[in-house]
Amino acid sequence: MFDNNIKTEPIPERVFELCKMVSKGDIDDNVARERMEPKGINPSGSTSYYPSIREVCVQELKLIEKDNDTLKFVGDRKVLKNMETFRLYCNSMVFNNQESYFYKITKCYLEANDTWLKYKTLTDVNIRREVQEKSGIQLVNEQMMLGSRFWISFLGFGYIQEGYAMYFLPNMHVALQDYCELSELEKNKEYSVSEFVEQIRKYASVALESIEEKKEFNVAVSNALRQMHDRKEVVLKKNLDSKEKWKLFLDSTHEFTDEFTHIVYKGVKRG
Amino acid sequence: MNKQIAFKRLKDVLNVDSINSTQADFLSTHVPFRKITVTNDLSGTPVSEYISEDEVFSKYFNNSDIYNEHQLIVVDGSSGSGKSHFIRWIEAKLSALDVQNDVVLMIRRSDNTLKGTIKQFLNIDEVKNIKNKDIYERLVRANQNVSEQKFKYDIYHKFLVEIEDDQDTKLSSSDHKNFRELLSSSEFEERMLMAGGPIERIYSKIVDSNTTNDEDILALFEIEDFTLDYDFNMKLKNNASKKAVKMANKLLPETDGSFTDEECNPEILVEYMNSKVEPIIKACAGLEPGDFQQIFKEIRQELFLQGKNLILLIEDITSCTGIHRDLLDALIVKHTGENAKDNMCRLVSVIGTTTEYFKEFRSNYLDRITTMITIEDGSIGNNQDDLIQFVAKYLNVMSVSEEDVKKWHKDGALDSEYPVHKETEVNNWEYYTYLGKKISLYPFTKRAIVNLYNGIDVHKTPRYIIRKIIEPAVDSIIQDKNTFPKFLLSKKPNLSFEIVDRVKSTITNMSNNKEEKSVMTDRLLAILSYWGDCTLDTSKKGYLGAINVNVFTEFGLSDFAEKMIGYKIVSGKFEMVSDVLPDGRNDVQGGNPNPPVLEPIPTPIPEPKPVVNKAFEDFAKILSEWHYDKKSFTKAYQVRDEISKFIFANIPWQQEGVPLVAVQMVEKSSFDLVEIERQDKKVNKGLVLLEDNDETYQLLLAIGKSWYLGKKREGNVEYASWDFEGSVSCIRIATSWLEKNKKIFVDIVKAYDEKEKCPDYLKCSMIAEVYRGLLNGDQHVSRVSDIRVDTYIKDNNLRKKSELTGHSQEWCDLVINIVYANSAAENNIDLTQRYFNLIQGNQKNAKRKIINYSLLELIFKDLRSKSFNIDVENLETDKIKARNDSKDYLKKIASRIDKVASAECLEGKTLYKEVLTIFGFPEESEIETDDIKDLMNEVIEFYKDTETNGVNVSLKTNEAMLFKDKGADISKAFAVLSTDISDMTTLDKIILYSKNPMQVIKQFTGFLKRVDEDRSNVHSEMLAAKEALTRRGNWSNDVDPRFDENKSAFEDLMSLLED
Repeated sequence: MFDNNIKTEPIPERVFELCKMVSKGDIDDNVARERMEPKGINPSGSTSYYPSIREVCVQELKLIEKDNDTLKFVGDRKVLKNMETFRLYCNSMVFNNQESYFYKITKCYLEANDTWLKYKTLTDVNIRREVQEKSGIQLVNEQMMLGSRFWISFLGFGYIQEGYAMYFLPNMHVALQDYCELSELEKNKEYSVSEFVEQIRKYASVALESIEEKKEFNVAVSNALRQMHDRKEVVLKKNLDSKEKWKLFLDSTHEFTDEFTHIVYKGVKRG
Repeated sequence: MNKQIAFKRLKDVLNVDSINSTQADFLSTHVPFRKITVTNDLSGTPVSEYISEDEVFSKYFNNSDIYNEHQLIVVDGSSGSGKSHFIRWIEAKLSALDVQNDVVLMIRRSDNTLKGTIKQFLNIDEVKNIKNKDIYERLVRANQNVSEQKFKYDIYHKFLVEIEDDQDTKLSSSDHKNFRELLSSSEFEERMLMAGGPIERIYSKIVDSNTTNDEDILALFEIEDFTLDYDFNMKLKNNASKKAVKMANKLLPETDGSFTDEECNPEILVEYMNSKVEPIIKACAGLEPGDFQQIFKEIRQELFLQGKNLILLIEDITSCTGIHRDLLDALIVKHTGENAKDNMCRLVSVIGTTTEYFKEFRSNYLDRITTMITIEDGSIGNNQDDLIQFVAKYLNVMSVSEEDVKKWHKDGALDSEYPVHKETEVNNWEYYTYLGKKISLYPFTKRAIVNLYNGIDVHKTPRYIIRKIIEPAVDSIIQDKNTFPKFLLSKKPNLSFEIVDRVKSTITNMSNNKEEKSVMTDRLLAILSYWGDCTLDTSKKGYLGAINVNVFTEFGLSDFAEKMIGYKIVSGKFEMVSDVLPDGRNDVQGGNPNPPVLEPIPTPIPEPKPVVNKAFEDFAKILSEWHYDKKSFTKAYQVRDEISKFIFANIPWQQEGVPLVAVQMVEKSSFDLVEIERQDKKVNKGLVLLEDNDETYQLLLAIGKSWYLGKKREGNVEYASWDFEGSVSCIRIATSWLEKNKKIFVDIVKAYDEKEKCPDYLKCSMIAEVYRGLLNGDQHVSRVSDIRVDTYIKDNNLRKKSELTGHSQEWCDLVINIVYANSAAENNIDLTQRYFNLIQGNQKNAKRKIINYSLLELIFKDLRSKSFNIDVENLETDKIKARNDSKDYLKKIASRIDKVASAECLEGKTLYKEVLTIFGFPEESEIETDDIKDLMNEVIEFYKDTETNGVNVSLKTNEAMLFKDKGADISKAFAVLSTDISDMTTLDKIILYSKNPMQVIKQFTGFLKRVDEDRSNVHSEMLAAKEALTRRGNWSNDVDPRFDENKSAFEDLMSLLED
């Protein structure tokens, strides 16, 4: 799913549910399928939904193994404690392959900043053409954009506003919290922005890859940094004598409208 | 500022209306008038000239050539032009002149009641021995012991009398009568007498009040007094006469504010009533026509006797209600000519009047007015330098000791000797240069003075500059400079949303406590609004928003300034050059009395607003009034609704453990997801109240922008978008807010707390489904523990209503009339199945069901462990109607289920007894399968015999065979009927009868009854045959001789055959 064939069916909630079911004990694949997609209430018959959900659990998240017809949970059960622990785990896994379609599309979502807000839907042909050109994916169809959106929202890169129109509202506060935790930043240490970027790059490369040259954060990261600053999870600083300045996406309503030089990590506050 | 001196002198220097304010203070704070027009010979060919104030003084008040001439000088000017100040200045100049032969009397605005005015005349030293003084003083004291309320009633009733007798009215006869009726009604009387109403205004002009009147209240009726509203008229309709109501209806404005009757409306009535005010005031004060003139004449005579003359200065004749006509009539009386015989002193009178009021009496007195002085300066603030000089002088004089000021006054009040204080609070603060001397403007700056002046809502007069700007600012800085400017903290900041947001955002991240932050925010918004140029511009070194950073340091706000400018402000290095004003003028030399051109003060322009959208600006105004002025939240309901839509559309509900069906229930509810504090419609119809705080304000602005600025249209549909300039910060504000408040909405939509696993409505739905399955017989279980989770995900076709024959009537009624009524059963299982459906996207009614099995199993097991028991009667009714459906469904079932179970069991027991009787078994016997088989064998045998004997009955052998085969089932059913149910729960009883045992038994007993009928028929037939035979034969000893005869014939026949 993440590597190339992005689908809409394996949404995070379903993947989490299958992992949970299997984590309670080995289970026959057919039993699991019947439980998730009971024939009795799905009279039109079985679909490809279940196999694609199982695929994510087995191949991409590597939490389940399929031994003939038996499904076995092979991950750490702590991952399934709740959706947050599951998301943290997913954030540590799904962007490992920088060549995957999901990585490339997510990058486009983030680099678009506010430019996609003029389109009524994320499947707009102009958006897809842009993704196609930037990502090098030969064909970006509607399914790929729609399927990606579930995980982009789940992994904490922003909100997918689904009403009459469908917008991506970039603010990766939740994902950045995860990356700060995964990167084991030192509390109360003042990092230069370069050091900070270097420290979290391993996990957050999808959001940082294209910013280092210009030293300019995209909207999603800028909003996240500002929110973390407001929540006192980090302290942004602007030391005028600093040689290196990094730009935030302009927001004239915030204390840090455009530039900062240092960041003190205070610790993530959940909830 | 010299704080020590200012602390003592503040009140005296600033108390402009107080008679204690010294002439020295007055002159030392006086800013010369720039443009005075003097006109003479008003009745002939008026000649006007522009002259300075000093020239006016020397020409008319210090001119020996005209000393003995009677003068009536009118000082005219628009409201706020400084007439009073000019007259006061004349008084101060006269006092400095030390005139020996003139008595100078100033009638102040603050003491201008009828009696107050007379009292001031009687208090002149020189008239202490005036004849009739006792009588006049008694007059002044009259009514002093009458209670306020009674006096007000008297005034009102004098109006009634006056109108009753009035023959001269412009009103038509019927309108006049109706108006009288209206005035006589107790409702209208109450309205007229209420606090702040017209009668109170008139009362205050009659009573000798010592209180200072800040506002120029006129003792007159106003249009609003006679403009009625619907509620009042309804009240009147119930209590007053028809005539009064008829008049009241004429005073009800149309929607556009106009009135139906051009000849009788509030304006006409006000004019009418005001024509009665003066005589009534006089009558109430006990003065007869001519009294005042008599008193005044006697005073002048007394002064004449003492060789003195009178200079009468009346600050504002407009407010001398009740006597202004009498007063004017008295002032025009010359002491010469035909009046010389009266021996009155010379009179020079100066009367201040507004241009408007002057028009009223101008024509009658034109030839009596000797000079008209018109102040054309406009308000003092119309000239920037004057304004700053004015404030600077007040700031200066309050910091100079009283002795020094008096000395300067005594020495002739020379400009060259003008005393300037030494600044003790701070070095090098911004200053104003007056006659080459630097006057510190602390705590103001020039820009602050101009901006604060522009910020005064009404009456931009010197008095208001003192009261609204200088006094509170100085008071605030003296009290505590760390709360400065306290007087502006509740004022709406004159800043763009972006600046306000940025200030708040910055302060939020500072380490102070909540209260400190709140005060700091208000202080900074005020400083930036008024001391600065309404920006946070840091491009000029050492300045933030055009404010010298030292100002922030001085007011204890350096932390904020440092955050903005990005470096430390070096303390001790306090350098403040004089600020450059918005119009580029700077440091104008004060003291020039005749600058050639008036330079208007520009209105400060806040940062250019990128937003040009009328609808948004209207909304922003409403929002601002809601947040800052605490007005109602009104009109902008679309934005409130957009907040709900934003929340619904952005929370990833399923990831938060909330099924989409639960979201849909709330979305479709008649309740709004959010309610805004003080919204004026649909009050208490919201699920979450958004309180009036900065967060909500910012959210409303962000969402308001997405609606008004981002709005898009597709066909007839309009929808909000984020496609507008500056949307990124709105997105940050909205998403941060959502993340912070998400749990509140998740909890509301989830509808259960931490202790529970699911909402009550789901429990009810799942329990009801269990009952439905049992009552309908598609739940094939014998005990509670047999019920499986799969019951909820089995084929829905298996839930169709079953054949119910066999059950009691009560059971059938429940199933037909409740359980399956109006698709209730279908809707109920649909709710459960949708609850556990993990939907992709926003398809809340998705047909494809991918079940959250773990959760389903968890909740199911919990319910089963409690035997599907829930205290359904005590479940609270939910605001969200859809959440009550399953509860109501279960309630209906539960309310009947006990009776149904009892009726079913009773019928079962009765049936069982019946069958025992059939079997001929004693009570409480068991009927076993073999008993049934034996009985069926007998039945089979019976039919065999009938067949053998050629009895004509319908054979039921096959049926008997079937029942014989079903013997085990039948005996099981018997066992059910025979079960002791005394300790069973209702659910157990329902489970016991859920497989419909009575249907089996009833079929069996039905069969037995039919067999019994056959048996009975056969038996009857047999008896009948026997009877017939008996009747036809010749019986002897039970033997019929025909038998032997037939037998012999038969045997003969047999032998023949054998042969």
